[in-house]
Amino acid sequence: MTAMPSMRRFIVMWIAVILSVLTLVDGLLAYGAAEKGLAETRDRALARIAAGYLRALRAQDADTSKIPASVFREETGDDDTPELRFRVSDSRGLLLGGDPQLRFPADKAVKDKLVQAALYDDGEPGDRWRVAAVKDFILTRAQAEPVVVQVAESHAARTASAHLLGMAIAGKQLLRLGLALSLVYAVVMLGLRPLERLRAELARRNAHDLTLVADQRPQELAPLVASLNALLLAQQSAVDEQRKFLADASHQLRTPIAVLRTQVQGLLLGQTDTADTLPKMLRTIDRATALTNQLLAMAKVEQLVRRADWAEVQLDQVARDVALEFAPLIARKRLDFSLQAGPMSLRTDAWMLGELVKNLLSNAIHHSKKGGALGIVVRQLKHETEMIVWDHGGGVDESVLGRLFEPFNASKSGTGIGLGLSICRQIAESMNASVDIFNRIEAGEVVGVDAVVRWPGLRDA
Amino acid sequence: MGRPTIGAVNILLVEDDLDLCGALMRVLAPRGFQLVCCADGLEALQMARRHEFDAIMLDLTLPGIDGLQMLQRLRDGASRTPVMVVTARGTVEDKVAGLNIGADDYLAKPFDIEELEARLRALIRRSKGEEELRCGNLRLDRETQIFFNGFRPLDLSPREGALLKALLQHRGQAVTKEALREAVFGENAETSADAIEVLVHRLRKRIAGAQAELMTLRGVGYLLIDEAIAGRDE
Repeated sequence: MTAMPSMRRFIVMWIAVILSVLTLVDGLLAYGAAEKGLAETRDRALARIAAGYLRALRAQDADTSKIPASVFREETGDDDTPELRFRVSDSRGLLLGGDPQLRFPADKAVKDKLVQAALYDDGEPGDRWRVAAVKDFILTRAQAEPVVVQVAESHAARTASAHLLGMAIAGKQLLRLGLALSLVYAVVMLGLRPLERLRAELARRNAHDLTLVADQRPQELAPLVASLNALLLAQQSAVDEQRKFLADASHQLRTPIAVLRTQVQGLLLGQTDTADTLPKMLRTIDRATALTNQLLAMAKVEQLVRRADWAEVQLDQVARDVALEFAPLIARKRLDFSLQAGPMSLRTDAWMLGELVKNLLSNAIHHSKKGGALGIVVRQLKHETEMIVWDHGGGVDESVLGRLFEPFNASKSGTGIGLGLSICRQIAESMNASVDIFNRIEAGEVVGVDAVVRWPGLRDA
Repeated sequence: MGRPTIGAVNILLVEDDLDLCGALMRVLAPRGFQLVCCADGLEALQMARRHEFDAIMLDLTLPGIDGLQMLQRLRDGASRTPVMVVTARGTVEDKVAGLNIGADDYLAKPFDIEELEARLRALIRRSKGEEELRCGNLRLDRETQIFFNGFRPLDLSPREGALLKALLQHRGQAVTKEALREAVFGENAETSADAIEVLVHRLRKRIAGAQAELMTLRGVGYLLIDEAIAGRDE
């Protein structure tokens, strides 16, 4: 048996996959939004710092060193101020003070917007800077002159901040995912507990225990347990049948031996008449022999059914062979026998089919009156192949008709040994056929028996 | 163990149940059978090779070697003594195996003494070529090949004669129409099986009053039976 995948693992695994994908998407979106927010915040901080510088220049306030830290604290709520560059130029771009490496805005679009503040990127690939530029007039030597203040922050600093932000988001998402997965696992384990309980219950049973499994189960398990119980019931009834059969068989086999023993002892003690007793003993032996043969035939049928050695068998030929075999018996009773059978092939075991026909024909001969008519008909109906073994023996009592196929039933009513029809049914069932006994009524009177075997849908239409 | 006796029918009984051996010896002795019992397959084989027996009764389940093996060795040694397999195994496979190896007849245990005697005698007669074809008052004289009803010779056509002979050879048993057609008209004759019906009808008239009944099993064949036996079972 190949190992089937675990249901628990399947459920947990797929929930984990789904949660992970959701968390990843959610994290990426959150990171995107946070990064955008970060850029806006820092752009705003740069612009405010530039404006602050301009104000400081205008107020001739020399101490500008605290501006960046206080603005960043206000904007980002963070004490950590990135490294910044400054430049003050006149309107033509002439350096008045600060970092000469920070270039005067070259872009006309930027310069046109300089009334308030402009934000733009500058620098070389690998050394990119974000720049805020502000232009205003300040008084120098009693004359208002335009001055441009630039404040720049390296992109590297921003990326580092974004990384930190990303890490924080990832950490939070992972924590959430872990928590969710633990909860899912716990719920799945709890949810599947009834299944595990059922498994443990079944594992504890011993092989001969056929009592029913308790059926208070969750909705999903109830049908399974119901089917299981149905199987157990069927098994129990098979075991009961077997037990009854064994009891019946023991009784049937021991009785003739007990009778024989009594008869022999009676003879030994001189209490019974030899000429009278011996023929009775012979009949007892014949009865026991017939029963033994039937029991062995039954065991052989069981074995053959299991071995299932099916082949194409000619039903008409088997019927003819059985008739030939039974001809001496038919002749001894001067019975008027007829076989009506066209070529008809069946897929079955030749020995079993022969045994079926023999049992039915033997019954028919047994129940026929001397000189009576009997026969076998094999014919093809629209949807089935049919074999009828019929006789003129007066029929079967309606009260036993329903129980004829039970083992030893016939013997109780004293007409036969009791296993023949059981064997017939067993054989018929093994080849997916049915066997039934009907009283044949002619002119309102039961005149005999039709033993009918039907094989469904074997022929092409 | 004993020696074959002159005058009686000598049978080698190969059977390991001594009770059965003893019972059969006592029952068959007054009927003219002298039984030599042997419980071991190998011993029985030696015995069969050393002495002339009219027939061998062979059980299949034996100590030493199996009954079928013994039969095989006996036939390999070109012995022609007729063998009747008598066994409680009683399955078709055993029967077929036995007959294939060279058993001449097969009887399942337990058996009827009358049947055993009749089968043994028929077996021995067949093996000596003195099978007597008779049924009721009907009889075929082997020398002249003339059929008799009692002491009165019957006037039969060659085909009627062939038909009666075929039926007599299997008296008490049914013979199929096809088998009869072959016996009467030959294997390749282009006659319909119905021709037999006409012939049977004529034969029935010819053997009327011979205490033998020619019965029809419609759809199967015909059967010749001693009237004393027919209808004996009530």
